Amino acid sequence: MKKQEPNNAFINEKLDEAFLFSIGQEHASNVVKYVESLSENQNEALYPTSLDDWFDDFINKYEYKKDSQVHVQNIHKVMKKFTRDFFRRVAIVLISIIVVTSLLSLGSDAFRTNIMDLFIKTTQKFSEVSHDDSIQNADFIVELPDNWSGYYPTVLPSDYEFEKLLDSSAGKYLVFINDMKEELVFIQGPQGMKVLVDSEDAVSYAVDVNGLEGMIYEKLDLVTLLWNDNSTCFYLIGDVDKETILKIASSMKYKK
Amino acid sequence: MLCLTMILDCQSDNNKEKLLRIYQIFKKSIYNIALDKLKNHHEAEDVVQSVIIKIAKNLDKIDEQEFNKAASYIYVITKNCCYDLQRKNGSVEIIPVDLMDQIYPELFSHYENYFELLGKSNQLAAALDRINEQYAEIVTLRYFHELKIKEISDLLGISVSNASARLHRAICELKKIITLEELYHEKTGTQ
Repeated sequence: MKKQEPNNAFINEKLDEAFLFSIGQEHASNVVKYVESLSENQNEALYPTSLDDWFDDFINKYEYKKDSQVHVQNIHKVMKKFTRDFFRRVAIVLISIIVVTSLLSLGSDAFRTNIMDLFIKTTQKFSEVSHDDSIQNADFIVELPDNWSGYYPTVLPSDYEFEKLLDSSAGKYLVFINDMKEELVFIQGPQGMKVLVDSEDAVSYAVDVNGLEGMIYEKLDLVTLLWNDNSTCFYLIGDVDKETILKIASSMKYKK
Repeated sequence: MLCLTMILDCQSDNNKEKLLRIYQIFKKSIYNIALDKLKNHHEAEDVVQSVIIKIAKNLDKIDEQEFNKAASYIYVITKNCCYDLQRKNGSVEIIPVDLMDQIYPELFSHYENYFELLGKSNQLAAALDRINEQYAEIVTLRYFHELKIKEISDLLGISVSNASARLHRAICELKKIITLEELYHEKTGTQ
């Protein structure tokens, strides 16, 4: 093992400090001598009694002030500790609730239905819209098969007509088309159904659809309206203006 | 909680008793120092009050068991209170630092005859005190009382940088004293 070299600078510093301590000590002794010499020369009876009276008052106030300060500091310390402990416990409880809720909602359909009513997540390019469970099937107007039931629009732009229908467990799609081959798509599906909405650079705002809260995304000429009635979610996507899409949405009727 | 309150009350009583003891031991010394510096009874009384208030605020820094330490600490407070009063009354000429540096070597040469006495710390401390009492004081506060620069600056009522500069100058001055003392011994052939 290598023997460590003593640090000369450190030793010198300590020696200096010791020397300076000695100087200070001697200065203190000289001060005491000076003070003692003053006492010898001064007449002790000269010390004013008014100063003793002042000191009596001062020490009483000093005691009171000091006590109050200590008590106030003590109260502050206790309050600070209590607040810190309280918020720590609240944080633990909240985290526990969040973890348990997350696990239950992810693991059970029953909990998912009750807990997650509407969840909208906006990403860089798309808004992913999801609604809760509970399916209400739908059918369509005269052109639709007779055994189909569900919501359908009773108002359409004059140049649009029914094109096709897609019926799946995930949802029902009604597609209308105009002379320009532009599509108007109406989707209805259960809560929990997910649809990607192109929200990049889109203008979005809330609207009212027959008393239900909806959301419109406008991007270029494409308008997307989505809303739900707590059991079914609806989407209308088409190359139409905002007023027209709101009229179509407001005209929805249910066919058993 | 009750125990804590009792402890705090006990501490408060102890502080009160400590302050009372300090007052009784040092009150005459404080008064005498103030009177010696100011030559005025009324001003000396004012200084005693100021000193007691300062002591009460710094009670934890006073160790009654070490009389010299406590006495020198109280002396520093007293002297500074006197200085503050003189400054307030305009009876103290404040010398700029640069000018002080120029004056000191002259003062130092004035005390050159006493260098044969500077073989010991006591004599060096006395020499430093003669050159500038503030220098001896700040060395004492820093190295004997082991106060931090911030505490010294609070006690003396000066800025931290001012306190640091003063301490630096004090040590430089002490080095000068030692060097000149060595030169003196070389010249005279004394030890």
